[in-house]
Amino acid sequence: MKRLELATLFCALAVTVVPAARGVLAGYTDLLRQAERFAFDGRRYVLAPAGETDQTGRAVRFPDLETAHATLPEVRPVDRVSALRPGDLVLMRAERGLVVAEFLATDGTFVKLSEPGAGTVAYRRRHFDTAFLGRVIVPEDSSGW
Amino acid sequence: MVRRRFALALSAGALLSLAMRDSGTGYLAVAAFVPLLAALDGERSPLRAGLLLALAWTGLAIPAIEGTVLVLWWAFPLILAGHGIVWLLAGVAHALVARGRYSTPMLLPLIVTAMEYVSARRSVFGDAALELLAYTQADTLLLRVAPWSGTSGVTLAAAALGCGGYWLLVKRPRPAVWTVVVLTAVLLTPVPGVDDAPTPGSGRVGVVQSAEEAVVSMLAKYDDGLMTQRMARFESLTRAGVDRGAELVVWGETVLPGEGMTERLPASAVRALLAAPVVLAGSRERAADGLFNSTFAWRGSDLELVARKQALVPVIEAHYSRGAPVEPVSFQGARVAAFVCLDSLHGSLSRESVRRGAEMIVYVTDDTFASGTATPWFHLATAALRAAESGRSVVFANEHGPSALITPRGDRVASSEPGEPAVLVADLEMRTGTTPYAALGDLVGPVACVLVGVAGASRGRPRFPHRGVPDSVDERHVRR
Repeated sequence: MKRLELATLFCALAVTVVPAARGVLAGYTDLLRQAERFAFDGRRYVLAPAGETDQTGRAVRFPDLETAHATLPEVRPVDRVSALRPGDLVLMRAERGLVVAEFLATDGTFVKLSEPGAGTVAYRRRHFDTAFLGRVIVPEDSSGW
Repeated sequence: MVRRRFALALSAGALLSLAMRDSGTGYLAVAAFVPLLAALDGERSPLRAGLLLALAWTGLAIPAIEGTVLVLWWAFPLILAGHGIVWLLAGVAHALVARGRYSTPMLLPLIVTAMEYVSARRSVFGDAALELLAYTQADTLLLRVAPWSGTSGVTLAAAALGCGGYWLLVKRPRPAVWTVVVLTAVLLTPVPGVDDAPTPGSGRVGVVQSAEEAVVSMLAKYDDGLMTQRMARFESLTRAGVDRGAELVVWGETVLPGEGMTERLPASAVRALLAAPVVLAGSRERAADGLFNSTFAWRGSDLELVARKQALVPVIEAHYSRGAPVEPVSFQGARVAAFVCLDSLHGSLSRESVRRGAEMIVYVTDDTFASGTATPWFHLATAALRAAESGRSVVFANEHGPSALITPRGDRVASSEPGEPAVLVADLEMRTGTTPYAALGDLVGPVACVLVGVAGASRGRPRFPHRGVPDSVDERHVRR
């Protein structure tokens, strides 16, 4: 009888949990494959790599915030992302140091930016919030930043 | 003995699970009641009876909601636990109420029907209200019971038929025969609003399923190149549908860019829309009173709001505002009611549209999130039930698939596989009749609740005294 019960348990798992796990795994693998095409790194999708787009974000990196403040012409604090306007240059954390990226658009889910070295990217909003330093660079003149 | 009961409940869960998958058949759900009854028969511990029923229900629920793991993993155990509690309570109720020989096969169909009815109440579970058993019957003859009393009628029929099998097993053929006779009589009785329904006409309807990759769909609104690529696919599929005679072409949920504003539609989207005389498509809608998940019609020049999603997916769609019931809209001479995604789980919504004069029902949805799982098939089954219970043709346009065109009896005349671009075209009848369900609503569910309550109240005066009479086949075995 014990063998029969074990066999029942095995069969029940085989027809209930195994197909579910297989389906979920297949769906997840497929999503990863799709995201790979856009160089998704967990934070942002690359819509157009740096070489394929007119890069307007400034390819300037700063080791820390103090250096950035000392170097940049002027910064305007921004208390929320919705206050950003297309074309604003925003200071944000990147993989190495700080960068100046051009804000392009947001719909609350993603934030589209032109990021130096990366290209045109779409940040997940929550990751952008972490990276964004709440500062918009105000150029001294049109030829400056 | 306890282990044996759990093994039987597991077997029932496995059968229910298979019945819910597209590779299975609804008759397996009927068969599942045989081991389920054997597991419960004579079980006097309320907790154990509850666990047995909840275990079986888990088998039914896993395929239906497994897709949620891919979008919000913690929703999966939460839904399982939340609705599993109802079935656990059903088991508890059974142990408390069932007394005497053969009371289990008499009571269980009523208890299951009552609990499924409670699970489906939006007043109890909000938009997460969910019943499952009836939807396994979308491919069986029992679907024909739906016009009488919606999903509860189908649930009761499936459970009663399964119990009929158990009666045969315990060598009591008479109740089994009576169950079959009653069900046959119900199935053969002409259904008002279905068999005698006026059919003012028919329309040739097309469904476009672009099956675009989820990431491309998501990023298209941030990238002109991706949007052009996406809309070009819609254009070519829509043209293919029109070439096959489609007068109305339906696209999936939130596929249109522009947030419902004609002036914000990109040129590629306008080109795709112009490919058909009338297009019905889903789009986000930014309105003065909030953000909605809506359906729009395009008749050659402007977007026209048709309906807003009423049942919102909890958590995921918290940023949307809830739509309200609206009058059906006329397309090519037919009055059409449109719904979005989760609306298909709630028969009360489509019933309301039928009462407002809908001759055909359209569901636009996008199950891309559940790609690879059985959840989209469950979603399609809900549309078949909505068709059968309301006596209306149903168009189920799923951006990722499966999509289908469904007759007023709930049969699919055309359907597609998930994950493949497809265009479906078929003639669908426009109906004006009123089924008993459309007229009166779900009566079987409340009646089952009342009967279970009455049985509980009369528990103190058992009709079949327990003492001296073996409670079940199992007990007789043990005593022997």
